[in-house]
Amino acid sequence: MEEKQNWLQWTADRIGWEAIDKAMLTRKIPKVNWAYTLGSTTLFVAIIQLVTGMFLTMYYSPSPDHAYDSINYIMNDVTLGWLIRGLHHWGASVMVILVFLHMWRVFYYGAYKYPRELTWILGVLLLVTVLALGFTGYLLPFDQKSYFATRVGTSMAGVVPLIGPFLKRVLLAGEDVGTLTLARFYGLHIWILPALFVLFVVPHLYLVFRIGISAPPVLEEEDEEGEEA
Amino acid sequence: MSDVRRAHSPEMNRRSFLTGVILWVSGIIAAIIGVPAIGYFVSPALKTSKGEKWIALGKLGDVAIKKPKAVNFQIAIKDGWINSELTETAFIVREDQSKYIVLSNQCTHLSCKVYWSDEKQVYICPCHNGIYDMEGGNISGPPPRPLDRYKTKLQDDQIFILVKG
Ligand code: HEM
Ligand code: FES
Repeated sequence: MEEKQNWLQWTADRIGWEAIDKAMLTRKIPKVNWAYTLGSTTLFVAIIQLVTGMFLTMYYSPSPDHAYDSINYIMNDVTLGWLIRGLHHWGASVMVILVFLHMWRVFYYGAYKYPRELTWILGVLLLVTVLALGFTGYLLPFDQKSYFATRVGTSMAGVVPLIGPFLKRVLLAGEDVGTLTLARFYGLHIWILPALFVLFVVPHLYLVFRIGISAPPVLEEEDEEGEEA
Repeated sequence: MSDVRRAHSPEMNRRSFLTGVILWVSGIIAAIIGVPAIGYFVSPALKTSKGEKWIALGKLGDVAIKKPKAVNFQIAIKDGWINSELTETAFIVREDQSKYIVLSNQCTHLSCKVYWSDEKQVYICPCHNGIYDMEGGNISGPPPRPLDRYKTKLQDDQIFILVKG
């Protein structure tokens, strides 16, 4: 850093930026490939989902009478509403795909082994959270597709041995998809699940920084060849 | 690094170049989402109603002289994705046989609704005690100007006012 004491430097000094920079940004990592960027890519899309989702709540109305019309309004009347909703809509699918690709990479390279078991466990919780976000979000437009997808999904929960029928009624908040189902799916989708996501992703990333990224498991000789390529 | 490169740009090295690229790309991505988000957020504020229409308020003959009459009327509005009706109130004030005015009941201070007090012979705003006389002129309180008057017309004794919407 140079002599000049600008406000950026002033702030950085107080935050302890050097330590953060060393621990997170300029830390040493093994020689890895592009597959190792999948976690960061997932995080990037997650942030997009979070931001676009917040903006969607400004127009969306979680009631059976208004849900569909409010989304129509976003698509047709709000400036660039189609873009914000489009990003969130397609981002949801991209998110699920990325989470699986990231998980496969971790599995393929055996990166889940000691000392990264906890990172993996948090990852599994993140996977479930992402799938739950996708499932609850799917109901929100409240069109035919939403309605029947939610019936199918909750009926699947209904065949769980013993507690199935009860579980299904809890999910639906009743016997069938309706006002209460939409309200609770909305609550889950915008509050509970994103909160859980943050709760899991923070320690997940902490462990990535603390333990450091794993090197691809390659044989010694191959490693030398790898150097040339 | 060679002297040639150093001479070319003493401050630029691989690390600062990449830092710059990352910051720029991040900034551009943030702008791609951020700028549309601003438009998205302010969008309803950019939609102002342009239309005007005449609405019938009632017969002038039914209004007593020097006795403001509160009349409700409906205007069709588009409230987001909902088409609904808004009920508004106006005061018809008749000064003599032929002269009359129609006042808005909206306080000119901060938009509360005023009411006519028969007892005190003034309009009173309940919010900060703005007081207006029968023709809407200011008597006391914070309102900065008289009550607004509607444009009016009379057809076969029927009073019409010009409203937005
Ligand atoms: C839902 C969103 C998720 C996000 C945002 C996320 C983010 C990340 C990031 C940024 C890394 C750094 C290394 C890399 O990018 O490959 C990482 C590593 C890791 N992730 Fe995830 N992850 C998610 C889900 C998962 C899932 C579903 C699993 C497995 C079930 C998992 C298991 C791991 C493990 C074990 C590591 C350490 C890998 C290593 O050290 O090589 N993650 N994660
Ligand atoms: S709004 Fe009427 S006096 Fe303040």
